[in-house]
Amino acid sequence: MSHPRHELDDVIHSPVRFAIVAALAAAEKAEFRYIRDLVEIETSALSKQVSILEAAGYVKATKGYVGKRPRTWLSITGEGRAAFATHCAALRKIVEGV
Amino acid sequence: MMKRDAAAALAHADALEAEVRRHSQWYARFLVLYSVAALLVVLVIGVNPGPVGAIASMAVWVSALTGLLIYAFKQPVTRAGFARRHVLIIGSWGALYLAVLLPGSAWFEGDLAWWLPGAFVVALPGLIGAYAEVRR
Repeated sequence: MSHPRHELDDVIHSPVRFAIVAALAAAEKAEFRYIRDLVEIETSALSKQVSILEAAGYVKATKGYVGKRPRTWLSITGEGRAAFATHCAALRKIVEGV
Repeated sequence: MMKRDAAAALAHADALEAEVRRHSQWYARFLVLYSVAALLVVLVIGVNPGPVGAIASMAVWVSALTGLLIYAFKQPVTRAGFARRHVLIIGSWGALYLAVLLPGSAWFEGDLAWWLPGAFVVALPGLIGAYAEVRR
């Protein structure tokens, strides 16, 4: 029987990406700046991590405007939500010592 | 990965979810204000039959919706499932609004016994939605 750590998602395993995905899993959509402040990360670092998550198909970034101000909205994809659920299930198995 | 690292990661995820939930509470306030506006619109039509009531209720509705939309667009986050719940609440409001407005305009013009309870019925979907939002 393999250890549950093998079920952990390589993309989500990074603590910063885990935090981003965890926040987005609870949201329909969230502003880029909101996630930046919530996860306590620099703008450039968040951009880099979001790019990695987008490339994996886990996160979608949408650009738009509120009035004249440009905004970027982040949301988790169905694939990202499923990967996060699997990752959390593996974490729970580790905690429970299964 | 050690047990304590996994437990810490799960606790962090729970804390982030709680923060997102807390910052999404604006939608409950939105729904309460929406319900108050919906109630007023029906009452204004009910107690002012004819074009005056229609124009006054439209003025209340347009002002309220403009303010609510500006408020909503300024919010940085919405909770998972927001769109589905919002469509359900607004759809229910629309159906009840027509169910009160159409018979009321045809048979109960100026009759408070119809319009007062009708106004509260029209406000119900938003109030129930706000209650559910706070409880979640």
